[in-house]
Amino acid sequence: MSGSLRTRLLLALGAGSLVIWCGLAVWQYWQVKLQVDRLFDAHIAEAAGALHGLLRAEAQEHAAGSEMNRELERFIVAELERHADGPVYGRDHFYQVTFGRSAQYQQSAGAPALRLAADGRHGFRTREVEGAAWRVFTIATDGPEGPLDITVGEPLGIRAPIIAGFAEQLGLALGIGLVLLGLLVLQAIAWALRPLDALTVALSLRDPNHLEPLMPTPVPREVMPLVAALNALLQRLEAALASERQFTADAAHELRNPLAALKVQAQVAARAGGTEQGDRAIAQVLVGVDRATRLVEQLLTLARVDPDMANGNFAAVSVHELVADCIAEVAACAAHDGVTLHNGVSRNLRVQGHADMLAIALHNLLDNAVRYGASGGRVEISAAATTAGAIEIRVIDQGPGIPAERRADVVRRFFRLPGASGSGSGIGLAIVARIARLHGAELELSDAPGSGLAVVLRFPRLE
Amino acid sequence: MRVLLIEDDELLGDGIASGLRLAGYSIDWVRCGEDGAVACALQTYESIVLDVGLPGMSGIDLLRRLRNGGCVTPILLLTARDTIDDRVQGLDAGADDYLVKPFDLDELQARLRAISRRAQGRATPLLAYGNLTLDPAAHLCRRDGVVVDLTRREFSVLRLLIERCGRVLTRTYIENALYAWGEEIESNAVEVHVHHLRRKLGTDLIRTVRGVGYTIDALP
Repeated sequence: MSGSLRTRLLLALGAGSLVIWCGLAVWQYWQVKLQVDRLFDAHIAEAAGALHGLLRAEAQEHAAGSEMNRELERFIVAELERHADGPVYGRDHFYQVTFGRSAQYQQSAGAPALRLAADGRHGFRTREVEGAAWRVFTIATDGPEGPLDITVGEPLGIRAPIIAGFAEQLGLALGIGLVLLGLLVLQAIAWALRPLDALTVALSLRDPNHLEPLMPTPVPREVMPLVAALNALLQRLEAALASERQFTADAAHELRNPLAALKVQAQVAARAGGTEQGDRAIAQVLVGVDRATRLVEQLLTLARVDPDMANGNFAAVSVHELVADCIAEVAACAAHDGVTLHNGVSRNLRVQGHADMLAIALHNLLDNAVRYGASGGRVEISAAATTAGAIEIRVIDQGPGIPAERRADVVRRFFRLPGASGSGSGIGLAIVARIARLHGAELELSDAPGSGLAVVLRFPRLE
Repeated sequence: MRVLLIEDDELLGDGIASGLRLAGYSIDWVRCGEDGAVACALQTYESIVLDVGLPGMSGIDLLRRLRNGGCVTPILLLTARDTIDDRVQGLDAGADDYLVKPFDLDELQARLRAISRRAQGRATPLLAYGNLTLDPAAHLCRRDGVVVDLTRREFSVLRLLIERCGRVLTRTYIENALYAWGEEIESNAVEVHVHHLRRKLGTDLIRTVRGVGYTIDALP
């Protein structure tokens, strides 16, 4: 996953907080509703209990005479009227009372016409009458004075505004809390990411020409591996850059030799103009131009041979054709020196590699063999698979060879053997070595049987 | 005016040798430091042109070896490297001057004249003896301001004798100073040059020391 760390943290924390906050709000709402219901229920039950106690006592008092019912009825009516003005929430209460063996019925003002506890069942119930919901509590008792059923009810509708009021308060509190939490989260994220911001600033302020490791200021443990990896990369870059700078400097210096020769020869030609010596100097100028051109070409080749070129462009290359092409390229030069080249590679041998690069490498090897081998001699090119499955391409000349202690040097850029003629660029073998490395191949120099140099390119087994 | 050239680059060495020969120098050209050391041991040169970037023994190594061996011949370094460190290293190793490739042939000659002049303890470019003035840069000899027509070899013999006036120079010494290896020398070449000089400048200038050689007396 990509994107901003800040956004990811914000999303995760924000969404999480919101979900928890909403769950909390719903749970709180239900709790409030439950408590309000219990409170109101308890209230009507208490009212019913109180009235019941009063009426039962009154009934016992009047139980002796038959006048009782009339007296009791008057009392009940009076009580009901009194209760109707009762406590705050009692205002909406109604009472329905059934009493005596004759089941006389009385109800308070505001009560629905329907008797809500006609079945005389004890306890709470919720009834719908005339489109309104009522919460009802019934006490039904039987005594020597006869049964006494008291039903107290109130419209359920009065609870909703109270619950809504609570919910409103709760919502406000939770809302403010949510906003504060959001601000806190924002600040916390900013605070937590500050070391990263500092790192970013430090990186952006760096001089692109200096690749020294990042400052050793303390960084969070989590960022440590990142900084370490970055420093390792910087070091590798620095090394690569230094090597490139060195190469550029070496190349520029190396170009100064043919340029110096050109300038001097041109001046000689100008001074000795027209004479035999002048003509010779002009011919030398042309040789110098060729040499400088060759050096520039080799430098360009070396620059082109990079890992990007090798990536994914490997194919099975026929060694025989490769050698045949390269022999054709150096044929003119070989003929001039009387050197014969012999392609001893069997036709079915293949190596895995980049065809153009392999051609460059082999061309350089053959060019060297012709250039530094014995004049009028023979250059043998052979190839074979070893028992281990590797493929060896071998170029053998009949020249003076290279002393063992110099073999590591000649592969270095711009190294020329003492006494070698000045026409070499000094980077031919360096190019071969580089191409070999990109192919995972080994470049080995050794003495040829008899006299001469044997160069072996050993390619890993073809998978 | 015999100069040793130590240069491994065929083309550059050929150019320098040709250019300097055109300017009247005799050039011995060797291709590596080891040969240079041998040449120095066998022969005295007016100056040495030494390329720093030699294969094998580097120019700087050779320079140190020559100076450690007591060689005082003025040495001009040729190099492709031009950083201050490189210059300092070359000069500290005992070089008299320093030329960065690519260079101008005229500048090379001027610097060669300058270092050999300094080696002889002269500050002025002109060589004066009595009413004679020699200009090594232009290869001109003037008597009382009038140009005397001298050949390259005659000029060299005269210059050699004036530079070393008061000393007797053997015929072999003069031959060695004048002719590079492989140059044809007639057995009486030096006598012929001296004869011509006497004809052009008068017989009393160059004195023959019988059985030894020639000399020009030091001025009182």
